[in-house]
Amino acid sequence: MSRKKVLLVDDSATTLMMERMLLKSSPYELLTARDGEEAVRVAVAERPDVILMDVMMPKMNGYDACRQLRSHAETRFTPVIMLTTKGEASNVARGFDSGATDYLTKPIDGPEFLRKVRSHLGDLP
Amino acid sequence: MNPREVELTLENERLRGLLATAKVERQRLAAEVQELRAGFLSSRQRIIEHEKALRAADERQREVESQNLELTNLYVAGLRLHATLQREDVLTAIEEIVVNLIGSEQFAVFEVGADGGLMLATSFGVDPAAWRTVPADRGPIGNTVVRGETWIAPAGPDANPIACVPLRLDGRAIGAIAIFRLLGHKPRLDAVDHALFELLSTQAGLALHSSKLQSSLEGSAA
Repeated sequence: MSRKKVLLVDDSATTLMMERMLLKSSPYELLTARDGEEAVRVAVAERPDVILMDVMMPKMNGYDACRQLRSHAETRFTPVIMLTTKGEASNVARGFDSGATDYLTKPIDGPEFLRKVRSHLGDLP
Repeated sequence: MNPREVELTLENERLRGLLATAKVERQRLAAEVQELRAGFLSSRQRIIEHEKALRAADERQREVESQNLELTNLYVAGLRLHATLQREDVLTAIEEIVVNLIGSEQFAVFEVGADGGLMLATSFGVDPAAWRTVPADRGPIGNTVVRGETWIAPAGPDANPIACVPLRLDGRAIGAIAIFRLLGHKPRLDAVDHALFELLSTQAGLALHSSKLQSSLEGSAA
């Protein structure tokens, strides 16, 4: 049986490294993208089971990338968790409006991060 | 005895028998109640003990998760700072650590210049022109460099700056990171932030110094 795929999208190498470390012992295949455009390209090609999407990124931000993902048949229903430094209600609402399924705030809280990823993959006990 | 008396005597005996049986039954029930009560008290005590053990396990799990997060943060920050010898990349790594791991979008990094003053190396979320130079011998930022110790504003997260971290090298400070504000949803500095301050104070200065040496070497070679 193939492993579930998690796509990590962030322009910050530090955040990507942090996410990789947190998911290191999980049985998931990890994919990465450094901006919104690359995220859409990788997601359509690889069909990940969940996407962790930063908001502020070069080329295409997380909101626009999320909207694009919803317009592709391959990724229309893929859970997208927005990862934002701006946890205010208006920004969270903007994320949901763009099609996000859930959100997390930075700095990443390890246990909460893992709980949400597992939850959207249906892997919570 | 007349028939009525016989009847009453028999009834009396029947009732005495019933009473004796009821007494025995009462004693049996009382003993059973006693036993159940003892069992109940024992179970209640065990429930209390188990709940206490569960709370302790939860607390321990939170502690382990917190320590794990702290170690992960430190590991990632250390790797990022020393992954490059290019000055711009080191400054980017410092920025990413402060934004993504500590949770601040308003900060500035200063280095001690040739004249002894503090020069802005990079900033995020603040007007660079307003922070181009800072006195190296006074104010929270200057005092942090003089003392070589991390300074946390006593007033808490509403102060400005809220924290200053020295960039140390060989027992002296060669600069400082001033953190002016935390992210809106982050109410305070936590233990993991203090651990990151400690790492930045020892490793960020070293990484910046190494990048300067590399730059000098490249300049000499050219």
